[in-house]
Amino acid sequence: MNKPTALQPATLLTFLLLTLCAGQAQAHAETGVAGGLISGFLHPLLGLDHLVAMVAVGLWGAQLQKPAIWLLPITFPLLMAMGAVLGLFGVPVPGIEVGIALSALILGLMVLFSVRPPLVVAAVIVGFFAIFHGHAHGTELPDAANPLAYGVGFVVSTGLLHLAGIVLGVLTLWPAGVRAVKGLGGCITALGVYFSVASFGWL
Amino acid sequence: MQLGTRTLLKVLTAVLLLQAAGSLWAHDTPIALLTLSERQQGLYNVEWTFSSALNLPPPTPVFPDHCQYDHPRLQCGETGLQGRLSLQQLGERYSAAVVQIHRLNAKSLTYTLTGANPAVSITPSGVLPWQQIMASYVPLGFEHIMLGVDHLLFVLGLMWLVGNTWMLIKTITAFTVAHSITLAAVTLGWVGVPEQPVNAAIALSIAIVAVEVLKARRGEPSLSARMPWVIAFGFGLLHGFGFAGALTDIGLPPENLPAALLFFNVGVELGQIGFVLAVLALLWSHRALQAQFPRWSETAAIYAVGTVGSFWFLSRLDLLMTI
Amino acid sequence: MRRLLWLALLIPVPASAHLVSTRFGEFYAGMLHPVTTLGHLVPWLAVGLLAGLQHSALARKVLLLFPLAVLAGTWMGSELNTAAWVGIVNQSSLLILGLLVVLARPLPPAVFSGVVMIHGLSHGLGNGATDLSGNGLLLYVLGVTTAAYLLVTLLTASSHQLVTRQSWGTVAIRAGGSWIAAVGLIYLTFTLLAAP
Repeated sequence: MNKPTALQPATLLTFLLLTLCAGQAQAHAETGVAGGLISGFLHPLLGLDHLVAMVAVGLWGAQLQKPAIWLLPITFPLLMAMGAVLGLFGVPVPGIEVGIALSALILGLMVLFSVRPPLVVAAVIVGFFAIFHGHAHGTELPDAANPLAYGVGFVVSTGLLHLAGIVLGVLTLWPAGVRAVKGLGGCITALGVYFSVASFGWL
Repeated sequence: MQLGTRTLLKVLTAVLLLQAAGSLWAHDTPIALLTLSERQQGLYNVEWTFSSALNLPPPTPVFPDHCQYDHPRLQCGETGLQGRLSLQQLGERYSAAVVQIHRLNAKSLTYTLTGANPAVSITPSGVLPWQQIMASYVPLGFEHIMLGVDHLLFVLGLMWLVGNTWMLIKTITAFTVAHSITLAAVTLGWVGVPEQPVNAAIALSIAIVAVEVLKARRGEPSLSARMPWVIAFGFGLLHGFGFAGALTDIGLPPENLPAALLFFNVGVELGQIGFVLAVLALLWSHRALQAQFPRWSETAAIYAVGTVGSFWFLSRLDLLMTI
Repeated sequence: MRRLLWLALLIPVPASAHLVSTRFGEFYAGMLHPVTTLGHLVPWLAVGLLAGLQHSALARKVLLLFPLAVLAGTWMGSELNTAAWVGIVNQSSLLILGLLVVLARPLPPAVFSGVVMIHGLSHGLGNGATDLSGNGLLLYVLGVTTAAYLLVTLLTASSHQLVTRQSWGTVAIRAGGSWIAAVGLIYLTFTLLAAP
């Protein structure tokens, strides 16, 4: 360490770092991955109307049991993507905000009364609302730092909300849990009423 | 499925690796050096030295608030140059930059800033907060073991030698304890070992472990098969000398020596644990898919590791003779 | 100027003292590129999920086929100008592979191998680095291949275990596939619209 060339250690460090970093710069890497992931991930979480509707999908699926418990969460992302595609093409979907608010209201009601329609009907209801949710996310997409990362972020966060609903829905295995899940449905319905009223501009 | 092709691939990879390891060539990467030389009390001369193939301008330095910067003059007044110094656009233009501060009545300071860690807080004594040392030296340690394929190959050899998980934990711990001892001993100046013979001996240790693995698989009685931690500890001492060489080359601020040493070692251990876990995960995957390697292909791979070790040993020995 | 000379002179010294570390950085650059680029990472995960849904004999094949195809692709990508089909295949690969996972049908061996190899090749071509040569290129290509092997092996084994051991395993993987397909549909539409 007492060598007269004080520069040497520092140079070496620089060299070591550069050997690692230099390679990364050259291959057309994506930019804004972290930013896109985070903003996409937060988008469904920051809107309470989105959030409760997603949890309601999971809860309802759990109430309906197999195969709906999985079919609904598989259908939802695909139709949500369709909605996002409409948003990207700039196809106007009327009443987006109203649709999202109503989705919280109606899905909340389904959970509250534990409604058991035929599977196809349930899938159509969920899929219909998925389009509204997807459209709302999709119109934000082109502004994202990295659209792919944004897409991954919001799909994963939506999926995790479904999963949260399903995990909560496991409570239905116990009699007390059945009531607890219905209670959650009631809360979601109440929020849905509030969002719907607000979206019609009556508040 | 016949896995013969994979073996062939493995051998091929080993040969290619060998070829890659043996060659050296010049490297055109941008390096930036910022020199601050004190002319009068509190008045510094600022000078950039850089070489960049792309003719990139150097990063923009941001000096502490009380300093007035009018290139090339930096006036810091009575307080002197202390506080936060950062380099803007460091990550974009240059991967790293070295800052040297030559002071009139105190010893010189040297800092290395990187894109990930582009600011430093300068104190009169040169002592850095431990968070700053951690941010620089943990990645350096991690990077050193990841780039030091010789260390990783040795660890791989140890993993081959041990039979079960408990033995693996004991062996890896022995290796860790041993290299920590010598790393500390050299860095703190208790012992001095020339770097090049150490590097040659490290290469030899890989070859020796490969031989031990082969012996153990033939069922020949050997100490290393019964007590692999002995071999791990012994050669671990050697590998610690290697780490120490790298650490002193990187540059250790004497004021921050213990913390830098600790965090460098933490980085090394993290890299080592990551490597061991990755290998274990791959072994689990192959078992889960019943994609087992035939016995002879494993033998071939051990030979490949041994060959690489011997090749490095000979080339390092050659280097030792010519210098 | 003297300092600059110093810098230049000093570089070969550490390089020869520590033979191995010299340019090994390219290996990690190759490994990190597909892992940090979502356009590669997500479809590679899908390949693993798809393989995990097949019978073990077929699933095993992916451990060899995919890295080899990536190796060939990355190597060629550095030599050739990337063809137009590569971009289209890569951008649509999230949707196609995602949908195949959603369907969760055991595929005929030839179809499965074909799908795996085409995607390996095209993503390898997409990873090709044109400004490297010699050993730097070799290390880079090996790095990309190692990443392909690691990702696909770990994912295939984990998803295969999930499918065979857990009653809910297959549906969980299918849900994952629907996420990937959803992302893929949005991504493909976006890139097609953004293209002039």
